[in-house]
Amino acid sequence: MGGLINKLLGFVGLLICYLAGEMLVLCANLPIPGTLAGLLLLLGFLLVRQQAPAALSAGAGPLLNHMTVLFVPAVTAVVLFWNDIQAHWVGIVAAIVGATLGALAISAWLASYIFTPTGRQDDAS
Amino acid sequence: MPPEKALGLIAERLTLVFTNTLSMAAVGWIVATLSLYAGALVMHKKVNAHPVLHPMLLTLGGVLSLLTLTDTPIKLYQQHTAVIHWLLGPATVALALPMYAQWHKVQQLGWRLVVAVLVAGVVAPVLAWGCLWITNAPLAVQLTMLAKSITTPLAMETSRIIGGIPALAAVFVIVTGIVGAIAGPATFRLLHITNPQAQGIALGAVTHAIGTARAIKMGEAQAAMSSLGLCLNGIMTALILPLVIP
Repeated sequence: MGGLINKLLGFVGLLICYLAGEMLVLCANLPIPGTLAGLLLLLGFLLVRQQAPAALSAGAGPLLNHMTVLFVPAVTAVVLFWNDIQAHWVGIVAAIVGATLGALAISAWLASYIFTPTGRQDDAS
Repeated sequence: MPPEKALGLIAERLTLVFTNTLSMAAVGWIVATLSLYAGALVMHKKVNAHPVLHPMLLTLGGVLSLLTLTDTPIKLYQQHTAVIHWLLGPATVALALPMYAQWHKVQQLGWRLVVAVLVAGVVAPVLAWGCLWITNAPLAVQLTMLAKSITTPLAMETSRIIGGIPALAAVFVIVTGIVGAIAGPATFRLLHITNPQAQGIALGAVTHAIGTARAIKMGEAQAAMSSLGLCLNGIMTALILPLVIP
């Protein structure tokens, strides 16, 4: 029972940050997603507080673990763009397969160049 | 926009989401979607979490088949399940928690990390966009592709703001993740990129959460750096793209 109340409290906390983010973006006419503003507000709050409240983590758990299902309603609209995809499938496949592997190679190569000179930076954790 | 007007707009959207949910048909579609998802999770587990059978793709396949069978328009389905879509807002905000958990590492690694992620965050969308530009794809699809390397919820919102298509963004993002998870490690082997930190950063920054799931299986250093790449690039891309593309 206490667990459920904690989860609900955490959810309300997330909701407040989300709505505050939406408000901020609308009022200040910011060119970023309202959800990102909410995320940054919460991140700022956590960094100032130096600790994540247990209720917040409890409320975030189910949302983070099952975020996948939340995409489904929006993604069904992909069918409406089927013609666009079919007409340009070569470019799309190249962008998703070729460009992704190319980007992985370039960024990993550059990152290893950036990280090697310092020698051992082994993970402490 | 004045605060009262913004508040009114937010309240109006919220009311719409919940009035949409108050019908038998809506409850039915919500239950159907959640059941299909539960089934997809079981199936995903059966194949040892192989990236190709991503639960989102399985659920999507199930929902689309049901919609075709019952002759339900997609717009109507989206109306009925508006509350599921709406939960994506608080869920995106919740990403702050895992990001906060990684934050001390950002300070510890400093500029090296930021530069490495920045490179990945620029190279990946530019290469992808180039492929579409050369092949003359429609502008909306080109813009959508720019957000393909960041975590799905941020990619959908960002693509909407810059004039892309959120539904396509989600599919591009997820397939990008699958490609990276399957062929990423082989690419590193082929090019003799052996530094575990570099592998992790690239996987996280270019192929987000699905790449990170693969990085976790590669080792602890890869896992930690991949989550960092995923978090940092998500924030950076979502902040910068709307500024660069007005």
